[in-house]
Amino acid sequence: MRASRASSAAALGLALTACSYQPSMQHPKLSALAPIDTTMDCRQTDVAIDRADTVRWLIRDDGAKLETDAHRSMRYTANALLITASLLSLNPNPPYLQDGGHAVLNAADERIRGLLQLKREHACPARPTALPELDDLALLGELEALQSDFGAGRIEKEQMLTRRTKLLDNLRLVQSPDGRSPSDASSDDHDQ
Amino acid sequence: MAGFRSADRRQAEASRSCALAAALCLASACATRSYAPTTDVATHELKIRSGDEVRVVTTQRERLSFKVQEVRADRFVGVTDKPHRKEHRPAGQTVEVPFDQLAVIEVTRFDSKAATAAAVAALTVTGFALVLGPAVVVPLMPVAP
Repeated sequence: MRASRASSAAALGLALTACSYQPSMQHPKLSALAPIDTTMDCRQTDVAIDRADTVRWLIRDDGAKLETDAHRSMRYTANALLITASLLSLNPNPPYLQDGGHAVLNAADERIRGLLQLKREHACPARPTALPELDDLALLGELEALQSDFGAGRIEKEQMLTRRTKLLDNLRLVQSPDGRSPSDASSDDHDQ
Repeated sequence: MAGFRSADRRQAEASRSCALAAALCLASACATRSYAPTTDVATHELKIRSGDEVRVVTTQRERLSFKVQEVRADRFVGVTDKPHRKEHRPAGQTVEVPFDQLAVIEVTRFDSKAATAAAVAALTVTGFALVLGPAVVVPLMPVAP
């Protein structure tokens, strides 16, 4: 009984997450670091970080979230049911739940992390972030610590993803033209 | 008399199917694509030209839609279009977007290669329809008496 309630709640959460992701334009999927990227100097690396962070901000601003393996399995199950039901009712356009922007957001996260590691390898000067007393290289250290905590089983994947998202949401000090901070963006309206 | 009417009907069905196929093929030649160029060279390689309508997001997190008027060595110059969702600049403003501030660019353009392929496909479908006539009609469709 409790399990069925939990899975109903999870399914509802999943559906809401999928609905909250509404791309205002096509989201490009960023590639991982290529060998050519390692030849960038410090200034070029910072520009590349700004670009990747902007792509990530766009994706988050449109409501994307990272999904856990459990959410993904549930989504696949829900889609199998939805498609079966649609086929049985002869619906030619079966509805299905998408990944809520997970793939593009995860790719952006990975690229940013790679660029920050590159910056550290090249001994480039750190830049401030939106988090007090934490520059971007220190933020990379936090990200790596999170990853190792997860690898060692000290935290759950959901916790790791939530904290990673929060850290990366604050990577840059940018006053958005509409006056909102990046972490505000995904939680409220997907306006107009 | 009924036979003639039935033949006319089948012919009309065939024409409608062909027109639909042609429209779908031609529509597919106009594509919207989004890019995240990582260098100025990569931005030039997109071959954005004067007259293209683009949507961009800058590293200052500003979203803009504009019609490109000039492509300089290091920037786009254009005039803003009617703002899309989450855009704030009104239409008609002159804007300059330096390439090193360009994070995302989305362009909708008519792809001439795809258009040629689509036109060939449309002509082929139409040719088959004219030669085969009623055979193009979906066989499961009920035929009127």
